[in-house]
Amino acid sequence: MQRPAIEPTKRWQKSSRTFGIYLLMTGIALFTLFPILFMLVTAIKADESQILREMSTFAAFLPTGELSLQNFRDVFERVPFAQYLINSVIIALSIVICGLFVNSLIAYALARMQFRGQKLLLAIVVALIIIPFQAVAVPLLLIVNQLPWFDGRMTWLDSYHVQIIPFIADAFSIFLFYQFFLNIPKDIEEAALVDGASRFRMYSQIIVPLSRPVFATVAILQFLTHWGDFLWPLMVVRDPAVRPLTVGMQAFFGQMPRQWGDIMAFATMVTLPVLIIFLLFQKWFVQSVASSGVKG
Amino acid sequence: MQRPWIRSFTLLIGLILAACGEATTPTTPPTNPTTATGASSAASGTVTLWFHSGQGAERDALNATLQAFAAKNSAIKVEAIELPEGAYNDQVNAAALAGELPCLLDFDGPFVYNYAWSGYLQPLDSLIAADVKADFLPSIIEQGTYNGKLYSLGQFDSGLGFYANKELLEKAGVRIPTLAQPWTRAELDEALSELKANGLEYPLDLKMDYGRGEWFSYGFSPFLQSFGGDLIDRSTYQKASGSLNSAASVEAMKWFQGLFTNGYVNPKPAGSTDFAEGKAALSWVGHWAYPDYAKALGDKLLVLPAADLGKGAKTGMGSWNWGITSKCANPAAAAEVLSFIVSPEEVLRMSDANGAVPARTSAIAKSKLFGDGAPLNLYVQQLTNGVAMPRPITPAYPVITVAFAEAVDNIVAGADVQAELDKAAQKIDADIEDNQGYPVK
Repeated sequence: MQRPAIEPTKRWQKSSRTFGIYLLMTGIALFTLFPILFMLVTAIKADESQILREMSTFAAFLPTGELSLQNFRDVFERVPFAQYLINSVIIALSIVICGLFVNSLIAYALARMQFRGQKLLLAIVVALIIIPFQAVAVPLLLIVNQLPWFDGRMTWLDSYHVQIIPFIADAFSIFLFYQFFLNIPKDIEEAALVDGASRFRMYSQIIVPLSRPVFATVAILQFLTHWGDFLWPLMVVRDPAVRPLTVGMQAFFGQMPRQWGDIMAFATMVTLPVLIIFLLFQKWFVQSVASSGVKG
Repeated sequence: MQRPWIRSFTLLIGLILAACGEATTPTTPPTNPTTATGASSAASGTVTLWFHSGQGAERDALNATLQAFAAKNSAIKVEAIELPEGAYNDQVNAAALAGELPCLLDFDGPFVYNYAWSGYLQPLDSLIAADVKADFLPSIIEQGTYNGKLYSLGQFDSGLGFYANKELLEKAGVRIPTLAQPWTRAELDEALSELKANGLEYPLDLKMDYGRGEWFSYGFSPFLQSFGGDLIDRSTYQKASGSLNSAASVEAMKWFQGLFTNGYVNPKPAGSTDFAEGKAALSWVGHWAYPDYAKALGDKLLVLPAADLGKGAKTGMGSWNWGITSKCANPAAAAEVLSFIVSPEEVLRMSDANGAVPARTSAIAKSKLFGDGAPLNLYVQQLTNGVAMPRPITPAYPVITVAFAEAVDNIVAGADVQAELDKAAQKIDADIEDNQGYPVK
């Protein structure tokens, strides 16, 4: 059978509409990418006065002039970047890994187990999502300052654990897990129950393997959130040995003139690990975000 | 299947706890070789010290000072921590809230009153010898004194004035002012007009690229004061209304706004190099710009005093200084460290590194930049002849500076001057009322 011919006018209208949509999308994509491009390009420009001259012009996005890695060297000379990077990795990964375990277990209990106060607990978890961290930061500071630790200290300040433990349990993560677990059919668990499996075994061998997308979502969202944490470490950490990247970067802000090349080199090195992780897990991330209904 | 999973998790938790345990061990930062011990002083013990991470040379100078202290004093151990400057005040405030301040710390000058009023600092009067105190510039003592007690001492003060391109001024036929005969308002306006007529797009550089922040209060409040206005009524420090929004202040800020509407100042310069590149003939900025300007202009560079805009020439003063916290368990040892930091030799070491005005007269005499006849001696004269004014000596200063900086930002953008100053004054008054007038404790 021969396809009916499309009128040339309609074909032109269709292609021009497609062209317009692509043009708009390209414009939006460029708008989103330009700050990252600016960061990368500025980081490799060796001449600070050139950076300042080009700051408000299109040339700021072009790798012109003398290009070098001097700004990166300056960062390593000026601050213990590797130490800050290790600290950030330890903190963010610890929160993510512990958080996955704790929050999924809480959500599993809420979704599957019957106990008194279950609905109230769920309501409290949902309510906690809307409370901004800034509102509880100061009371939390006063609490952690009075807590003992295993080494005999009577405060948690200036440590890794003060940056990790308060963020392991997360209401939003619990809610995501809870929503996902509700949609898993109970049949397999009931069969396992007949076979004598414990609740924890059902959780670890049935629920966890079936919930990989939501685990991926929570892991990525939590990592991104805590990789960029600033306010809390600013309040509780002074010791460079446990200082994360975000606070360490503040060494470049203060006295004038600002060295934008160094700042952008630092920012590049902070952003790249996250960007690489995102690109590696992009497929999972997109799938899991779509399936969990997470909105950015 | 279950066991390896649990084993892995247990191992992970163990690793995290181990990492936490290691981190909590008190450490001296490896990047700062500043742990000091020594034998010559009467005091002994450990002194915890925080300092802001300034520019490289400044940081190196302080590290060298602490190392020199270590070499001379075996009984006192200094545990120094360098904090990032961009977040320094926030970290100090958070630590104060938690009661975790160190023994000795540095802070930006005008914050001393708030810290002293809040009870974070202890007076230094009984800890610093009278002859040592007498050697400091009056401006340092004035800046560090609150409610009749000395709470802080600095290694250096700041200098603020006009830098000028001699060649461009002469070309426009502009008189070179002196401290005895500074420019009047009419002369300054005429000079800017002539310089613009001579082809300079923006003849005056006000360092607007620094952005809204402490620079706006430090750099531009002297204009208010030279017009007869001020940020607050300094007789009682209870009201900004009537001073910040007075007729004189409004006139000052209208004149200031005129600098932008007349095209004398670029409100959004791309960078800090307009004056050095000869695009501007005048630059209103502090001592820190001198090295770059001297390098760029050489013999053409002039350092000029603040203009008299009606009620006498006024300029700013004050910089980072040191205080001993009230919870310091070993104030005698902290005072020993502080005395060393502000000794003439160490003051000179710092001044040579950061180009700031040495805090002590004995150090000034030896300074190549600030001694008699030296290129920046004008700043010393401004600090000692009453031209320089401290920022308001009140615990409300953190609110004052934020409110004024916001007003300046809006005024530069073209907002109504009276409305902006009214708004700023109301904010400051509200803060003072909220704190019951900051009663002296």
